[in-house]
Amino acid sequence: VISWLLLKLILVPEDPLIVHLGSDKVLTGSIEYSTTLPWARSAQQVLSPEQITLEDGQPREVTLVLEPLGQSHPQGLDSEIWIYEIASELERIGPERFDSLHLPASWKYDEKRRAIVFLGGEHTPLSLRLKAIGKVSLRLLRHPWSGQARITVDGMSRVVDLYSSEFRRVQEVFLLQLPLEVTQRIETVLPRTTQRARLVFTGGPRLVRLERVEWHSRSVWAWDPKRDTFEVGPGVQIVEKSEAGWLVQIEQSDGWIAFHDLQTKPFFLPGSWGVIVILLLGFVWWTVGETYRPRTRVGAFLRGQAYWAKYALPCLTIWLVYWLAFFPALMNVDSLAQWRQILGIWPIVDDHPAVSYAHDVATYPALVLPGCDRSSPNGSHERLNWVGAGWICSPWCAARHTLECLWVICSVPSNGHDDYHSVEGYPLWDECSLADALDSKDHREPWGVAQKLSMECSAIRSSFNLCGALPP
Amino acid sequence: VLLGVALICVALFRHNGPLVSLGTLAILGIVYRHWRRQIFLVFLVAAALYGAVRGPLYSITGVRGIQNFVLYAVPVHQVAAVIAAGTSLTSEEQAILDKLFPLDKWGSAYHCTNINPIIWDSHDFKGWLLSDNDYTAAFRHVWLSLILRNPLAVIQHQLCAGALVWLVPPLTYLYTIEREIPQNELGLSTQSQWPAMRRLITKLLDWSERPEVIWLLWRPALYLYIILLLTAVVAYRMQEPRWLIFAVPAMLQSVSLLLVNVGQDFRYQFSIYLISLISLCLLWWIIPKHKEAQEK
Repeated sequence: VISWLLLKLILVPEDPLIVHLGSDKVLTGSIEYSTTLPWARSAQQVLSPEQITLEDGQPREVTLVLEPLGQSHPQGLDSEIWIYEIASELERIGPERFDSLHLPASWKYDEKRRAIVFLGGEHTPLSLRLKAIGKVSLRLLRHPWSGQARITVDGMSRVVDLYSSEFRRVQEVFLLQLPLEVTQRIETVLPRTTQRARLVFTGGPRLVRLERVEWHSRSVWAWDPKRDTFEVGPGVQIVEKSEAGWLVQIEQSDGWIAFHDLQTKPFFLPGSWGVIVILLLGFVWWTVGETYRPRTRVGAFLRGQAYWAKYALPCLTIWLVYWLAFFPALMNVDSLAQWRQILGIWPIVDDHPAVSYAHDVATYPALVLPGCDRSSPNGSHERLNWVGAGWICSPWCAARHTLECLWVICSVPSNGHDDYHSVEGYPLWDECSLADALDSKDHREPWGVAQKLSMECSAIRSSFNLCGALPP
Repeated sequence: VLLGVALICVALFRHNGPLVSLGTLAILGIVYRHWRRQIFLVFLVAAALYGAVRGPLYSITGVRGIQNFVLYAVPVHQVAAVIAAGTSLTSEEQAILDKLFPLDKWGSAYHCTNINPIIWDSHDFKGWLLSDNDYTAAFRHVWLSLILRNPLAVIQHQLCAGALVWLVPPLTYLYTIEREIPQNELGLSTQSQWPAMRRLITKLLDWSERPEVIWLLWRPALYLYIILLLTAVVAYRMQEPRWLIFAVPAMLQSVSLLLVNVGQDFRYQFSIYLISLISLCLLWWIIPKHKEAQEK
């Protein structure tokens, strides 16, 4: 029951969420989600730069196609299209260049009004090329004679209706955010129990094109612009829906879009981590049971060794929590330097002397490699990963990390009884043993104050026993 | 043998380790005169192991000794302190120091708690001090001249640089632990398997580093004083001065760090932290023999 509760309520696996979008700015924001967990109905994670991959932010030459579609309104008088200017941040096509353009037959340049016009006839598209990063703006005329037009930029279309009942000649700028300045991919994780998630945009107004959202949970949940929808918060407007994505205008900070029913299945199965945890918990449960009330020879042996287990188990438990929380390890620049030395990228130096270095060499392959990027430099991780896999699966690894916690207890008399009566010296060994056991990069740092406190009594015990060797 | 191995572990753990090991052994030899022979044997075991590791083992495994520029970190920091104190320099000294770091920047880059602004902004700190050559000899000469010219500035500097050893209030920064793996080209990054716990622990760590609690939870000075106080208390209660030896390794570690410290890292005094927690139990410690004597 405890295992099940731990698994279901605490060790809830997290599944990757990938959002593909384009924006006129690099995204800043957060993801808020609500889950079925009773104590964590909702949570928020601020998107860090590491979670956002910029896929495209370079200037490029785009093809703009403007296609007349005919009369748009029952009271419309014609299907005219008047273009006064086409511009991006990098290039402007205005009246001064209109006469040099090669226009299709049904289009012409009106010198008097300084515009390119379509006044009817064959609906031949007008095609132009210009350099742009993101925004392309078109200054078009709206009046009762105007019709509809499809504007396409690099394959992404938008239909605009230029009809206006006003007889004044109104020029209006149509901003075309296709393609957007920066296409981005957000990769984060959500707990498997997530029911609803919303993407909150900070950093002021912006235009976002949401292209696809995928959540690789028990089954792949996906938001598809062709068939799905999403909820928008106040100050957010859906400007355009197309098969390639939905264009959303975020008019204020903290504007959001939300997705519902991410996880429809009521019960979740454990992931691979869940299986491992179940096995571990089962093993611990059996071990504790056997130690407490031996029924087998193994149990009797364990009971004989139980004097140290009471120190080891809290240590290992706390260590395991830190390891999972900061997987694969907490490393600082010195640790990274040693890691480079292990990989042979840097020569081995004595900046950190032998004992601390030897500890790290023996430990990193086990702890760090599972978290390594397989495409790391010169493939060394890949090779060493076999070492790490072998190491971490070996009983010696488990024993080693136990022993690191318990170095100080090595001298406890083998009969396991407390024997403080001959102690009249002082614990000279403490500094060595504790420092050696704990002052290492991957262990010392994840361990917290609680860990150190848990070490206290075991250290006292061992040191006083050790010092029994010293005469009065 | 065990004592020898333990001393070796200390000696080979950090570069100030040999001082702690040798000093402790020397004091043991003085106090336990009847056991001088055994203690000498311990010394031999320790020295043999130390030599074996730093000699043949380092040679076989291709370990390079500590790099020269690391050794010069303390002198460079002290030189910066002397310059920042307004000490006058000869033109020859100016020429030598200017090669290492622009002369007009020595004073402004100097921070008593951290040498990094000088090391990392120097155009070729490592290049000049990487190996023994004429320049390093000249620099040593300048360093010795300057510390003799303004010893007070050096003392003030060392007290500040070693503040984590003796200063309880958080008047200087203190580096504790990372929250995630720093950016690197090795493909290593923190990939928490339990993000909720990570957030919780990170919050706790952030809280523990707030000025109102860091002096208690992280700064090691208080813990050094606890060791000293409790050692004195137990020696008094036991009427046995030899109990003062309990504090010797901690004192040697602290003094050596005070003399050579160039950064405010909690880990440098981690052993003090641990010994202090152990020493709390000295409050309740009564040797049975002594208790029996009291009862009689």
